[in-house]
Parts: sequence; C-alpha cells; structure tokens
Amino acid sequence: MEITGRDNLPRGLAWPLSQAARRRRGDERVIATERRAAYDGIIRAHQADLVRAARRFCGGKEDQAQDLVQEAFVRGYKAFMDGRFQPGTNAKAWLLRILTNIFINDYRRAKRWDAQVDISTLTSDGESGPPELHADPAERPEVAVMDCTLDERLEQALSALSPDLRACVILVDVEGLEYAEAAEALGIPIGTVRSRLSRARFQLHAKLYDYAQSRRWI
Amino acid sequence: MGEDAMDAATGHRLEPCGFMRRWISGLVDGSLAGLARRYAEAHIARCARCRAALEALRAMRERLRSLTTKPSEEDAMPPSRAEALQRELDRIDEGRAGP
Repeated sequence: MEITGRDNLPRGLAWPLSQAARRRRGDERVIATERRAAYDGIIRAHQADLVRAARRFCGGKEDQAQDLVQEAFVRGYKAFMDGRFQPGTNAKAWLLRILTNIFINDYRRAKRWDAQVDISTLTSDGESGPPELHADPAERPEVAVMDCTLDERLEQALSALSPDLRACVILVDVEGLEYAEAAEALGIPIGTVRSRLSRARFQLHAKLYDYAQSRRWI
Repeated sequence: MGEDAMDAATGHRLEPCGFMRRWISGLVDGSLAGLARRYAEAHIARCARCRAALEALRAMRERLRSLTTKPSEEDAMPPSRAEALQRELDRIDEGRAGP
C-alpha cells in the first residue's frame, strides 16, 4: 500500500512522530513533571496558611473550610499549569486571592456560610460610667480588654463579623496582605477595603469589649 | 442611617471623634499618609478619646497578627483530603497530557 500523505494514513494507524516531535513531547512531559513538583512544593509551603484562613472565612466549620482549601488548590493548579502564576511573586497572596474569590462567590450565590457564633448579642452588665480619660492608655479598659481576651474569643468575635468585613480583616490584619492585594482578592476598590477595615475593627473591638464587660473582666 | 452611625448604635465602647474613625484605622496599620496623617496625629496628641481608640485598635491588631504566626500541627489538610487533592491534580495532568 502506497502512502502519499497524512490524509491517506490507514484507519487505526498512528502516523509516526518525527524525531523532533518526539523530543518535543518528551520535553513537555519533563516540564509538566517539574511544574507538578513545584506546585506540590507550593501546597506544602502554604497549606497551613490556607487552612487557617479558610477556617476563619467559614466561621470554624471544618468541612466547608477543607472544601474551600481543596477547591482553591485545584483552581490554583490549573492556573499554575497555564502559566498564570508569575514565579517569584507572592504565592501565599496569590492563593489567598483564589481562596477569597471562591468564598465570596460561593457566599453570594448560596449564602451557605453564616457565622455560627453571634456574640454581638451579648450585653454588658454593671457598666461603671464613662471611662477615665486621663489614665495611662495601657490601663484604660478599652485597651486592657485585649489582655483578658483569649485567642479563642478573638476567633469567635471574628467569625461573628459579616462575611465582607471578616474577609477584609483576615486578609489584611491576620494574613498581612497589602490593601492593594486585598482589594484585588475581593474585587473591590482600595477605598472600600479601607472603609470596611475601619468598620470591622471598631465592630470587632466592641464585641470583645462587651463580652469582657459582661464577664466583669474589665 | 450611615454605616458609622450603625456601628455607634450597636454600642461600641470606643468613642473617637466621628471624623477620626477612618483616620484612626489608617494610623493603626500605617496606611494613612500625607497631610491627613499629620492632621490626625496632631489631633490625637490633644484628644484623649481618639488616643485611647488608637491604642485599643493597635493592641487588637497586634493580637490578630499573632494569630497567624503561631505554628500548629492542626493547620494542615487531613491525610484523606491531601490524597483527594493529589488525585484531582492527577486527573488534571491526565487531561492535559492527552491520548
């Protein structure tokens, strides 16, 4: 049988690859293997960051948090293999941006992640009048409240913030992202990050203060 | 009702001057710059309520920052999740490799 061109190749037979094509395919496999190994390194380096952030986003709901992390790593991998991650840039910020996008989109679509704890409903007892304005700042009750606040209570107060405010605090105050990085992750202007952070910080402090006062710690 | 007014209505215990709320937040993380920063710092030097709010929010932010620096073995994907993730990545690799 005479074969005169690619179109005449008998059915079921693969056209032999040229030496250059074989080399190219081999190179692609090597590159893919190396990129997978590099991404596995990124997973190892940043999974704790993502798990912690996801837990805070999800108000401590472990299954949802782990779903969120897994989905973020999968989407990240697709982007990574497509060359949409710039080597040498901040991998943690990049992954947090993916995680935040999934959280915000999912929350807006399904509103599945409501805060479990609402300590904003706690009321304070025994309020003792206006603060003493001339005391050493560190001794003032609104400053000293942090001394009697356990990390667990801080996490609960954080999870009681609305998701939009919570996300700003997690990204900027807890994870240390720049305003611009948080704005990109959340898809909002920097000015909105600034105003949400302000509201979130005052609200968070109010929750901690009211709780401490209800326990008569301050 | 404005957002700041809503915060006030929920009973927060920090009572800075109204116009200083966002500036104080900007001083807390160092993002406030230029003339606004100079004005805010000058105001805080003579306003005890705003000074207290700044100190309180700074103390809170330090605690928030410390939350993420504490290493913990619990902050990892459980083995079953890590394996499921690897399987998903394998599937992506297979899809990209083609026949």
